[in-house]
Amino acid sequence: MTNVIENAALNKVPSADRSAWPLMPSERNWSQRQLFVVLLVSAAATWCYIIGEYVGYYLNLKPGFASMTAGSLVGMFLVTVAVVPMATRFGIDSVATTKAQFGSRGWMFAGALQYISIIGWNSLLLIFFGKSVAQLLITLGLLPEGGAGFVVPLMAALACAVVYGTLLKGATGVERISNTLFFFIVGVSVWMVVMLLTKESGAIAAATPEYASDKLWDYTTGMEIGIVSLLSWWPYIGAMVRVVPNASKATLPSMLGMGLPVPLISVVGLAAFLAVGTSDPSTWLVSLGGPLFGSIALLFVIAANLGTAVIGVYASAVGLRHLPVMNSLPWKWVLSLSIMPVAAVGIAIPDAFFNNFGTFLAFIGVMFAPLCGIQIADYFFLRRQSISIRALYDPGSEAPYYFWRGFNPAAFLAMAIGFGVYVYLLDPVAYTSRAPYQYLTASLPTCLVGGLSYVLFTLLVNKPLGLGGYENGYEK
Amino acid sequence: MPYKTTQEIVPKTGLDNPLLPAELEARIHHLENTANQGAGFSKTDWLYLWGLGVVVPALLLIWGWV
Repeated sequence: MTNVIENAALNKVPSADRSAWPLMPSERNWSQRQLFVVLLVSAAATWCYIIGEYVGYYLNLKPGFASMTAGSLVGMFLVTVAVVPMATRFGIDSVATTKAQFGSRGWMFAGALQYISIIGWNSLLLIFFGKSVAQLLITLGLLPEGGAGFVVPLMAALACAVVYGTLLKGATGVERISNTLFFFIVGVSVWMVVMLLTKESGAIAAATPEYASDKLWDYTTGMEIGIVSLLSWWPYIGAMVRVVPNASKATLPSMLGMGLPVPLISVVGLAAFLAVGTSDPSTWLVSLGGPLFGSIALLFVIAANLGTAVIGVYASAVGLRHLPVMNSLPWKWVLSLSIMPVAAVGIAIPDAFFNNFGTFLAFIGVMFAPLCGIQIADYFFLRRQSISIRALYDPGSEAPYYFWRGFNPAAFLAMAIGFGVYVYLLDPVAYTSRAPYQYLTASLPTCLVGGLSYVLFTLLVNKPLGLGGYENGYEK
Repeated sequence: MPYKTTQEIVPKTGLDNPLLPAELEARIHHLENTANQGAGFSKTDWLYLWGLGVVVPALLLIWGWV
C-alpha cells in the first residue's frame, strides 16, 4: 500500500526539477556530456574577461595564465569537494547541502548568500547584455553613436523575458539553451585567442603590467583571483550536478567543464588588456578586425551572458524553493521572484549598479571560502559522509539538524572567523595585504581556518551536548 | 530510523509526517534506502580531483614562475 501511495505521490508532480526537493534516481538522468555542456555554458560569460583584466594589472601573459589557471583549478576543487558529494547523493541543490552545517533554519543564511550573489552577477551580466546589443547596433550602423541610453534597459528587460520563457521548462530549458550555445561559445573563444595571439603577440610580449611590484606578491595575487573567482560557483553548481546519478558523473564535468573554461577564456581578457589596454572584446576586436569581427565578438558576449543568466536564475529559483512559503507557489511565480530584482536593476539603475556593485560582490565572494571549508570539514571529517536525507528536510525541533532553535552557532562563528581572516590577509576591494598572504593566498587560509573553527566548536560544544546528530552515525 | 521524529510518534508509513508534504515524504522515504542514493567519489574520482585540483596547479605554478 505504501508503495502505491508513494508512486502516486511521486507521479503527481512531473516537474521535480522545478522544486528544491531531492530528485529520485529516475530523475537524475543527465549524462557526463550533458552536464559538461551545461557547466561550460554556465562558466563562459563576460566576467571571464574582467578576471583576465584584473590579473593583467599584475602579471604578464605566461605567469598570469599559469597562476590564474592554477588558482581556478584549486578553487573548483574546493567547491566540487564541498558540494558535489551531497548534491549528487540525494539530488539536492547547494542550499540544501548546508542544512547539516547551518541548521534547519540557519540554511537561510546560505540561501540569502546565494540569492544576493546570483542576483548581483545576473544583473551585471544582463547589463553587459544590453550594452553589447547597443554596441552591436552602433557597429552595424543601426543606432547613432551615443544612442545607447534607452537600448540598455530595453534589452535588459528583453533578456529577462527570454530567460523567464526558457526556464518555464525547468532544467530542460537550461539544457536546451546550453546545447544551442555550446559550439558557438567554444568556437568563437578559440578564434578570439588565435586572432589576438597572432595579431598582437609583439604588444603582449612587450607589455608591462600597470601595478606590478613584487614578483611573489603579484604571482600569488594572480592565483588568488583565480581561486576566489571559482569559489563564486558555489551557488550555481548544486542545482546543476544534482541531475546526474552519482558523484563520478560530476567530477570531470565540474573540474574541466566549469573549472577550466574560466581561465581559458580569461586569458583572452588578459592578453587583450596587455595588448590594447582593455579586456572588452567589443572594443578591441573592432579596432583589430573591423566591424565584422566586432559584430561576431558582440554576438558571443550576448550569447554567453544569456546562457549564464539562464542557469543563474534557475539556481536561485531552486534555492528559493526551500522557503516554506515558496514551496507551494507555482514555478512561474518563483521564477518571477528570482528575475524581477534583476529586471528592476537592469531597467531602473543600470549605470549606478554597474559602477558600484562590484564592491559588494567582492565581499559576498569571500564568504564562499569559509563556507567550503565548513562543508568539507563537516561532511568528510565530522560526519564521515554520514548524512540523513530525512534530517535535511525535517523542520521539527527534535530533528538532528535543528541545533539551537534551528541555527548552528558553530557554522556562523566559523563564517565570521573565516571572513575576518580573509579581510585581515587581503582587502578584497583595495587589494592591500598583510603577511603571510604572499605565501599562502587569502582564500586557502580562510577555507582552512573556517573548517578548523567549525570542527573545534562542534567537538567542544555541539557534540557533547548531543546537538547536530553527530552521535547517530546514519547509514551511508 | 536514526533519530526521534514525528515518524516515531505516528505510524511509520513513510508518508505520515504532518510536517512534510506527501510527495516530499515519499521522496525521502525512497532515498533513505542507500541503494537509491547516488554513490560518492570513487578512487578514480579522487585521483582526478587531486590531479586536476592540486598536482596540475602545482605544476602550472612552477612552469609559470621559471
